Amino acid sequence: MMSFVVRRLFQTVPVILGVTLVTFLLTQILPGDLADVLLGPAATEESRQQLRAALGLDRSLLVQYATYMSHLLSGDLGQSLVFAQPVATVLASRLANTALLAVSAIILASAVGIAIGTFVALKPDSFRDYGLTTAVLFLNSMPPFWLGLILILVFGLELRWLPVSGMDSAVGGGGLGDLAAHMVLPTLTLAAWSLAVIARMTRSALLDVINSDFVRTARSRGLSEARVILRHTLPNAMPPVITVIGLQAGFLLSGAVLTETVFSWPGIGLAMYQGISARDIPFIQGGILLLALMFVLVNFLVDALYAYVNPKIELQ
Amino acid sequence: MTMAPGRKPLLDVRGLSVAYGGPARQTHVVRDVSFSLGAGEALGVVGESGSGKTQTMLAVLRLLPRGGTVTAGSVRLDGCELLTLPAGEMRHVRGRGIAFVSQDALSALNPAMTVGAQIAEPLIFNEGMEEAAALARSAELLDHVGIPGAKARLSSYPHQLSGGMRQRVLIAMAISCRPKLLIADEPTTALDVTIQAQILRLIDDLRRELNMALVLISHDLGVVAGVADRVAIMYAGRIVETASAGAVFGHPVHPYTSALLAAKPRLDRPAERALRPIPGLPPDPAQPPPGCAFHPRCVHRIARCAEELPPLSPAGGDRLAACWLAGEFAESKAAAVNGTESNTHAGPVIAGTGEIAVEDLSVRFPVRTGVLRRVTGTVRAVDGVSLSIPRGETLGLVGESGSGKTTTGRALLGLAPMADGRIRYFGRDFAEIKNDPGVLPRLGQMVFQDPYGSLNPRMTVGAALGEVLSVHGLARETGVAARVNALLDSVGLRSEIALKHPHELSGGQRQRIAIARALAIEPRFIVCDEVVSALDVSIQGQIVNLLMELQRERGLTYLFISHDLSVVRHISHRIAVMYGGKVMETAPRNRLFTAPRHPYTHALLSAVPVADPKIERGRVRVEPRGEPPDPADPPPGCRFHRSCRFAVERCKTETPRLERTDDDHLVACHRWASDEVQTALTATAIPVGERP
Ligand code: SF4
Ligand code: SF4
Repeated sequence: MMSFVVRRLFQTVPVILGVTLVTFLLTQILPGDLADVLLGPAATEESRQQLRAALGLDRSLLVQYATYMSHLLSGDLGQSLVFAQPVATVLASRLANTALLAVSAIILASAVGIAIGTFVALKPDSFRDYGLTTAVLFLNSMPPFWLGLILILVFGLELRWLPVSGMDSAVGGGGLGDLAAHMVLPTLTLAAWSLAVIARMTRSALLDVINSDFVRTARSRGLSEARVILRHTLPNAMPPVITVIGLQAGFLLSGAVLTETVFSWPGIGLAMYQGISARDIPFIQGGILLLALMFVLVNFLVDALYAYVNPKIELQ
Repeated sequence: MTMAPGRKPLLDVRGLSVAYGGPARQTHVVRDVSFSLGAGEALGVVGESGSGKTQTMLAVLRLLPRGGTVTAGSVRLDGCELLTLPAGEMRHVRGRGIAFVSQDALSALNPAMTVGAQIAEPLIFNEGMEEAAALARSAELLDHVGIPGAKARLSSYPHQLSGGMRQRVLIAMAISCRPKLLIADEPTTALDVTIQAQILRLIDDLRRELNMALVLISHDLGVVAGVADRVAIMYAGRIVETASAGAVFGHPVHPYTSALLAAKPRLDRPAERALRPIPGLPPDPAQPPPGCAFHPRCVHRIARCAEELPPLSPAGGDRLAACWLAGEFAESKAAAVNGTESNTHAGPVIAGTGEIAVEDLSVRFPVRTGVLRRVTGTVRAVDGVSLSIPRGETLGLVGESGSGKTTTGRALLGLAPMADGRIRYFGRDFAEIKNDPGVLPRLGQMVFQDPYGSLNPRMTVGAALGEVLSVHGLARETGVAARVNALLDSVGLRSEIALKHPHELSGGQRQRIAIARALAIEPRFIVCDEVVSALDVSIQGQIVNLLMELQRERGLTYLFISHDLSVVRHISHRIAVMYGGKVMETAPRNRLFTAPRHPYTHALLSAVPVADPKIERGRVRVEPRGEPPDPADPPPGCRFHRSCRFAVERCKTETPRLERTDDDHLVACHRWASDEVQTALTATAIPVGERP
């Protein structure tokens, strides 16, 4: 398994290089360049040219990419216009908030999704199966921001059980209780869709595995139903579920942008939203790079996990 | 089945019926099955796919897959009714009362758990053993079933073991809680013949030692013959005949039983004996024919057979048979025979100039390992093989898995990378033919074991055949339909089949289509790779006969690859035996079977089960030690030396060459001519039966 993980780690290197190239090229694709943004529409052509020269924007693409990369390697992502701080500093301060939200959402979605999926798979085509599967499908077809708004309306504004925003810093002020209260609605919103997908995948994977010969072998040896399910069926049903969780973890990152905006959650998503509105090119660039790297990291972790649950993988 | 009076049966099954589907559309797969089994007794249950043999036993264990229900009957173990037992108590019966070994150990073992953890599981959780003690006991069990280095094997995963080892692990698991009854469902079906012999002997030894009763389910009468005290034959969900093994094999009364015995070529009978395939197809369990389910295929049927179901009733001695004519067949001296005698071996060979000749063929595949997937070794799948097949003849290629027989066949059609050697096709050099587009397919074609995988599921049979014809420019638009019909006719199918899709056909029909497709291009040479292995015994004979007929009509040349020695002997003119990527021996078929000269061939032949309990019981098997070599790391010298009982120092270093012993018999062994080997090998591997 180790050799597989190491090999997989090596494979991320070209992916990461590709990601940097894409984020770099982004500035070329976006209309206008940094000089336009900095100087605004009223500036003269001459002052633009001067600034371009000062920023190195008049050099060849290759040179610009090399400069970009050397800055990247020293941790310099440029200066954000909206936040008037280095991009890296802003991202770093917000990363924890987004990670908190995303990680708790994926944990919630996986735990509840797998539990629901298992619960229905044990009695397929029963009342509980139809009921829960319909509920899950309903969740699945709801856009996250819409769900967020509904949750705000019901729990925040009508029932007034939970705060809907005002979460300035994850650790700021109110302590853990306050943090938890602020987290409930955004986490639910973010987790809902993934939860539905994970539940459905668990159900079908489990139904596949439960008919396999080794499950019959386990039963034929008089093992309890709980052991048959927990020790023999579930672990072998996990590979496709883990794949789906990995994909969901990626989607959560993009889902975070919407959710954070709806709940004014001070994470990368909200900052990205602000950056995009203001055409803060260095910040957008840095943000996308970070999100992409996280995506790569998540994928790597999923594959490593995959190798762990499936001892055969080293052979491939 | 009646038990000896006074003894209480261990397992008593009465009127058991199993159905799938809801009450509205029920399909019965087991119908009114009754049998009983005394302590320590061995019952063989034989039937083709869909006969209900496995379903019966799963119902006994209450492990029917979803959708299956017992609709009637009773199952008693030691007098205790199992079908109404609460689930908790039924769990107690499984493993301790009745244990189960299924076929294909790879899928029957949990791929994500170590062998040790799996064996120990019920010991810890059901028997309350300490983990350390349970693991120690697991190692003992592994040792008991003959796994070398048992302790170290505890931490292996199933995929790290060979097929034979896995089956042993499964057996160790089954006996871990000392069951009173072991149900083994085709325990050797996926295994090579020498490994099969080892596993069968292990099961037989264990049952005597632990005084277990045994139910051995198999489609192969030969497998059952050596182990079972009594045999039950199933057809279309019912037991049609049951009696002591000697009675069933020696004098079958039910026409289906005798048909089954006559349908399969047997090594203990002369090769020229005609095969009598059973005409028609096994019934669809959803709509079995009325009356006797066998009547559409039975040559003895009378008017009554189609209307009334014959009950399973006494037919002399301890025999029960379900046939209206059982009484007559039981009295008459000759057993009931079924089916029309088919023509025997291919007629005189059409003398031809050309032939297929292979010289020193080698095929190697790279092995990649490590972080960078570097090539770290090579698998010598085929290592210096020379063969020749005269035109219009069949060369049988036998060997166990990993022997390189399939790769050799593929290389002959340019489907495997040839690392070395020369192939000549009817006088022309292969390299030259290969560069000539469109020529190779017209000379050589291949038919595979699994025609389902090689037929496009979205295309009708007619479209698939038509495509082959037009791609090769063999028929113009207008002529295609007629050519397709002619092709279907030549493989014995009606023209309506052209409109069907592969999934609508039976296995035998699909195999006929695959043959038709190969024939479409009118090749001269066909490589048949395990073409009958996946088919039911009653259908195998039909396909074998079809191939032989086509050969006679068209002068085709065949390379017939199979692990089934009896089928190979029936169809081949000459036979080559492969082991570890090399040819060990080639000889005309009768010579090879009656006077093998290579120790491996001898061991292989002695492992083939024969459908005659008298022979099976008296037989001395020369089991090769251990398992076939790893083609990625072949032993130096003779590939067989680690398993050979005649090996000497020289065998470990020097690879024997294939040498001519007399005009038509080639052997690769340093010692074939020595007295020791010659005397040992004259003790025939296959005893010849008493009956003609
Ligand atoms: S009952 Fe009739 S059809 Fe059935 S096996 Fe006997 S003779 Fe044949
Ligand atoms: S060469 Fe030696 S090891 Fe090989 S078969 Fe002959 S006697 Fe046995």
